[in-house]
Amino acid sequence: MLTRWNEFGFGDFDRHFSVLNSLRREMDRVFGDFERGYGHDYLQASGQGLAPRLSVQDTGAELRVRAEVPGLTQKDLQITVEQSSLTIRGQRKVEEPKGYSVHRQERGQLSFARSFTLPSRIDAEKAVAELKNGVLELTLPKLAEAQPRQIQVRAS
Amino acid sequence: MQTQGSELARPQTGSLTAKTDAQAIEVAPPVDIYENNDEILVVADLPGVPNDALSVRVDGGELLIEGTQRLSEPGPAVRPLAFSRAFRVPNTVDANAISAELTHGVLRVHLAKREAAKPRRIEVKAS
Repeated sequence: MLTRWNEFGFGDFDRHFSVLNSLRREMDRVFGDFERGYGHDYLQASGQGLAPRLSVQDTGAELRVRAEVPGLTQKDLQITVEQSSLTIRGQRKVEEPKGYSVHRQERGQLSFARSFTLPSRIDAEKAVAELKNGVLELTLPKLAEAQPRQIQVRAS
Repeated sequence: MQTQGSELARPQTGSLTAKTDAQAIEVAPPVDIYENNDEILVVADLPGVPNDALSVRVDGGELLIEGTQRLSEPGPAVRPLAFSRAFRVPNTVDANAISAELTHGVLRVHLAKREAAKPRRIEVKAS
């Protein structure tokens, strides 16, 4: 089949992957794994490959960010926080154990960089990052001015 | 579904995680499988699963890996994942010599082969 070569030359490459993906979806369906899909529940496909399952929660006084990064250690993660933006970068290489033959390889390498604008201004000095069991948890306290305030209604 | 040739693994769905809580989302974790002369090594990504919420066992010729995430603050925004995966284990594996370790959310299961199943080098004697 003739396909147009786009200016970056990656068109065909991408297409091959999408063919593989649809093939895998088909296989998943055949094997009854349709609902589950390998890894796709915590790894989401993004433009740059696989990205971790990530969530942001607003508790009022702080923002909590949670990212699933199995196999990553402190040194593989880079977190930058500014007043209202957050960037998380991480990388995991597939390290094939030496002297073993490969039967199956689904885990793949993980490389991501996600940047977002936070819904409120935070106190970057008091931000805390914790990594446990392959899950990164960030606690970002909001600046006092950004915290919700209760307004008393005075009876007159 | 049949296992064929050197294909060790067989994904399986079904009632494995029936006992996990209804809130959890069932997923099959991605897995790597390696083999050398001494063992079969299974590596699975299980982020957020603590040691005590993980079960690795060999039952009826199948390796079962099950684990549920424990979230520090479960809420409507994040539901825990219940990981589950089963593989047929060849009978060259010694079911009593299985070890596993969990580090940084990655599980590694070592399935040691029986002595008899290990390749042996045969010395050729010169006469």
